[in-house]
Amino acid sequence: MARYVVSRVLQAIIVVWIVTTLVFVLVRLTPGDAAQVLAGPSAPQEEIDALRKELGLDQSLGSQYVDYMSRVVRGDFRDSLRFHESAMGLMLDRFPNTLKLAGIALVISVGLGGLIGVGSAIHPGGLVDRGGKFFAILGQSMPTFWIGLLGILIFAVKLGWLPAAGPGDWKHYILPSATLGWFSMAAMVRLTRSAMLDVLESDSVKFLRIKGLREREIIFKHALRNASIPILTLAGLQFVAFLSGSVIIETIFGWPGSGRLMVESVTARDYTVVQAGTFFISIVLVLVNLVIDLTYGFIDPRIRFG
Amino acid sequence: MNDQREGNYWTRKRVGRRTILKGSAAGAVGAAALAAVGCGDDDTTKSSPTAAATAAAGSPTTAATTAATTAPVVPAGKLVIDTSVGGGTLQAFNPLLWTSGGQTPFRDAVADPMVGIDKKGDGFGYYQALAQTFERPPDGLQVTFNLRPDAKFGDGTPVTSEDIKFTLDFVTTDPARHARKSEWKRVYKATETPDKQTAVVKLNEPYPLLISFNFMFPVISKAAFDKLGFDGFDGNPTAAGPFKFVSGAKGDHANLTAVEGHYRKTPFIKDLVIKATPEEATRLAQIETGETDICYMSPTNKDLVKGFGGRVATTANDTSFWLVFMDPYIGKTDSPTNDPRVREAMSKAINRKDITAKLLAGGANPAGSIGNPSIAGHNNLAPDPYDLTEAKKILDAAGHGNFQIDFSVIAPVAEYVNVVVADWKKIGIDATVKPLESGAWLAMVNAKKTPGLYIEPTGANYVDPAQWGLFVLSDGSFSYQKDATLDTKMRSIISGTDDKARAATWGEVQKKIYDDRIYSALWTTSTHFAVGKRVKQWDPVPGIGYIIRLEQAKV
Amino acid sequence: MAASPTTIGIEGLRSPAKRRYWAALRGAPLIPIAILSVVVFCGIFGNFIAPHDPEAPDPLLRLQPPAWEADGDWTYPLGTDPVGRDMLSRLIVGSQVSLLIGVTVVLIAGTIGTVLALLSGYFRGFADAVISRITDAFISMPFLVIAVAFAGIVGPSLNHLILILGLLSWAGYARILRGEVLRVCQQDFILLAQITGVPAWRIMLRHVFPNIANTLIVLATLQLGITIIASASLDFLGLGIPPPRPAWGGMLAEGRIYMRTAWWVVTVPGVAIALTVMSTNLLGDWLRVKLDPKNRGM
Repeated sequence: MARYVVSRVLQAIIVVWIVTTLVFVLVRLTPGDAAQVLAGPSAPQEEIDALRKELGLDQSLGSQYVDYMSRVVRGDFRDSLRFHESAMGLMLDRFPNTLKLAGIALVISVGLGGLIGVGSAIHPGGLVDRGGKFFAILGQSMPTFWIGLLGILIFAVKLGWLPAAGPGDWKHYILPSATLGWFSMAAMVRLTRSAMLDVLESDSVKFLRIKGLREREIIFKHALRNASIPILTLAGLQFVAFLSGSVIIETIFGWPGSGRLMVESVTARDYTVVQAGTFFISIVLVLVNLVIDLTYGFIDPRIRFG
Repeated sequence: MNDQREGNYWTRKRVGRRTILKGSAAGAVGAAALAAVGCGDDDTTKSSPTAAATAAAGSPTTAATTAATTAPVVPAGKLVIDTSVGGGTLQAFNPLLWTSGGQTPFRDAVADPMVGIDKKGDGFGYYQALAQTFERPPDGLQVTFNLRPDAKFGDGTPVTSEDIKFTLDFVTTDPARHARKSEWKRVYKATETPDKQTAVVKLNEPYPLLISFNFMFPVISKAAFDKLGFDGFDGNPTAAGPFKFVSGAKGDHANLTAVEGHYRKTPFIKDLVIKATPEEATRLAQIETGETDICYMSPTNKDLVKGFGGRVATTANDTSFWLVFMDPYIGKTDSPTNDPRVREAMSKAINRKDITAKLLAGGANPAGSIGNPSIAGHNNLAPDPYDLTEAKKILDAAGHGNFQIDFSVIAPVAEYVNVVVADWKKIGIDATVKPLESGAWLAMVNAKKTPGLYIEPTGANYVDPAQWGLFVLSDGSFSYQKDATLDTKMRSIISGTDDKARAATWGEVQKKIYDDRIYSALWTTSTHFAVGKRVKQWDPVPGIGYIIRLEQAKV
Repeated sequence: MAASPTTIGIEGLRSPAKRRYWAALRGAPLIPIAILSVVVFCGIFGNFIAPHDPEAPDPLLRLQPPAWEADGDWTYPLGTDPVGRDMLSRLIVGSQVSLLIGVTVVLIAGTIGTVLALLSGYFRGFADAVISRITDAFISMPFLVIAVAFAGIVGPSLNHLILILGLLSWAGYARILRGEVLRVCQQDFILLAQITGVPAWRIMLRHVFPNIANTLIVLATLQLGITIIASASLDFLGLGIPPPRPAWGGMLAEGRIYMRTAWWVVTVPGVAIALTVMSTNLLGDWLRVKLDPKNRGM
């Protein structure tokens, strides 16, 4: 078991390394280097060259890479080329905003989606099943930016119930995370329904019914617990998707999150932030995946040795 | 040439400055809370640097020193302004690290220059800010600024000539970035400080922009900078503007607060929040709900804003759009656009009238010459008529009846690009639209390697023809022409001392560009702002895209 | 087709395979299939049935409302877009791009993912470790950052869009199918084939693959919808198909500032996307149930 954990951890490190290297190369290859963008369009060539030298961009790609890797292992991600603040610091400042959004979206997706899924499993073909399924699939069928804009239009402008955009008190979280969550709800509904159906028709549950347990107790205490493994796995995957895919929501809602920071940094060729951000996000993603896999491996021995 | 009213053109409406990288209409920067720096309080007699130049010791107006004669203003309330266009506007909190027009609202809110620009009548004029008077000898090789004795920084310390010297030196140093840095390095010699209130700026050659565009050099506090260092000061600046910096997150938002008892103009607003939301639909929704008070908008949404009770404010004709033919410049000798007749045909196939009236919702005017109408010396030449048959004839006569050419545009692609491309297709030109994201576009421009066409939007924030050097000089960053006569003329504008002559020369430059069809002017646009219901009083300065004088706003 | 006693005679004449085939189609979701058929039809014949040229702008005709509104008329039944192009024609021709992207990406990603899953699940050991790490790496990549950087390098175009989407979605197939391959490989008939010396590639192709095909089909159907939405998102960021070619995602993204002043500019492509993706989802769900009785997903 210990060997399994160690090997998975090692593999996780390799994954992080692959991702960061790939992004490093990709961003450096993008035309228009940081010196040009930072110096501004009016800057003459000498100024751009001087800035380039200062940023260490005049070195070959190889030596830049070596320099980068040697800093990474020391935890030094240097300063944002745009803002002259610690790149990792910027990331760590913004990431919690995305995290909160992802967390609430997950609650919506798992909570509401799971509830619909359970409801559908209990009464297949019933109102909750058909209505809920339609609702969930509808959410998955519209591009998120459209959902977001419609949400702002309806709930903020027309009804005035919620603020339109930006960070703030709890009300400001609702629209962005609901948009994010609604989009992913369908998969959760499907999975919960399927898992619950499997469990509800299993022998163990039949036995519980024979024993005379109330249906409600069977559902919530026993069936749900057994069905929770794949549900949690999916929840983990969705969470991971939220963290890296929140750019559009953050753009629409003016949310100061890490997704927006990353994309803006690529556009502005702010290499240090892109590198710090990619490193950080990939570690988080790999960690979450690792935890999921370890839990899975723990539960199901076949996969461990497979 | 519509110039020389009242003997000087500085009082005329100005044109806007180009937005760096953000393409047109980025002007959404909207006026941040205009500090209530009263226009009326300021001395507008000083509005003509030309008048100053002609006199040996032209101390423009010793117009009324500002000191408000009415009861002192007590700032109250909060104003939220959205300067949109992503992080470009709040990139640095040090107002002197000014590289893009979009940063202007923040800069002007927290920092004062020596000579400022504000609304005057239906145009703009100059007023004394930190400098009570200035003098310039006829050879233009130095400018003497006389500081106001009551000028103070936001932290209460007095502004002295040492700070002016520090400011002007700083722009030439290396970690500093500034839109005019290279030009300033070439022109600037040194500043002498004979006493605390006097700064003598010595130049290597005459530089009219130092006065006409002085607000690009807001004065920062040397003491604060020495204490905090480059990065520290960038996170917590101290300058002499009507507002002072409280807190913020770069690229996201800044919180400012009014400087009570400001030497020049205490704002009416107490709290000012500058933020940036990239999505226009969201911005306008926030104006409607009241979460934002002022923001930039595109003209197509005029009816929407008026519909929900908001107000649309515009600055007139501040940005000029023109078509650039890059092949002749990069030496692609086999390109059809090397032939001026081809360029003429292409220009005549552009439906300026309908595009400006319909697609740009009337927020634009067709133009014949590049440059903005309010700049002194503007040569108002007639735009090409839209005539497809004529265009086709010319094209065929030139022997290039059918060809393909690349057309680079910054994503997202503007609507009029579709119309222009379709019209060109009708006369046999297959223009392939190549959208680029802004970083890649910048690389292309700097490298001057990409062939084909692109449309340049610029001018919001330009007050002086000298600023167009970037686009006209052979070695200008955005120039696509190599013409020695134009170079000579342009240099005489940049370093001239006779404003009348400079204005006349600018008209000649425009005519040559027009006659030789070096660039094809398309139209001039205006910057539009959406103003929410809370704002009782505020207007942007006409003719400039970013001067929004937040100290003037009232809620 | 139902095996009722009165028709048994004729039924008996039909081959069992055909009977099973028709029986399988019972309960098929008709509306989604109808919608998808219309979309496919438009995709193939769009250029011929579009009433106007979808790429011909005319500023004077911009933003005409749909026919049933006050200022609309039936020349432009669904109104015109911000540069005066007919919405209906753009809708019809736009289906081509959406379908092209969806199908191509699914094919590319599906193929890569399936092959890697087969290799990884069948051989296990070192090959599995390597492939799994690469798969994990691709899953952990910040999709949009890569897309933006990539589009910056090569410039946005249809082919590049397909390439980006394909490269970034194969990992999902690989991961899920690997599990299936592992499950199948546990079974005796595979071991039997190995013992009797059947070459590996043959086993993978003829024995393993057919057993994972069901999951693959379900995945592909669901991924089709996801791909269409993803390409709309890239259009939003300005990385999509350059104009003037009509594409639903692009129409939606470009038209969004008119959401309140000219609702049809946004609603027409939006509804098209929504209906198409919902149809693929419902179809995928039904297929999942049909192809794998044990799997009772929605």
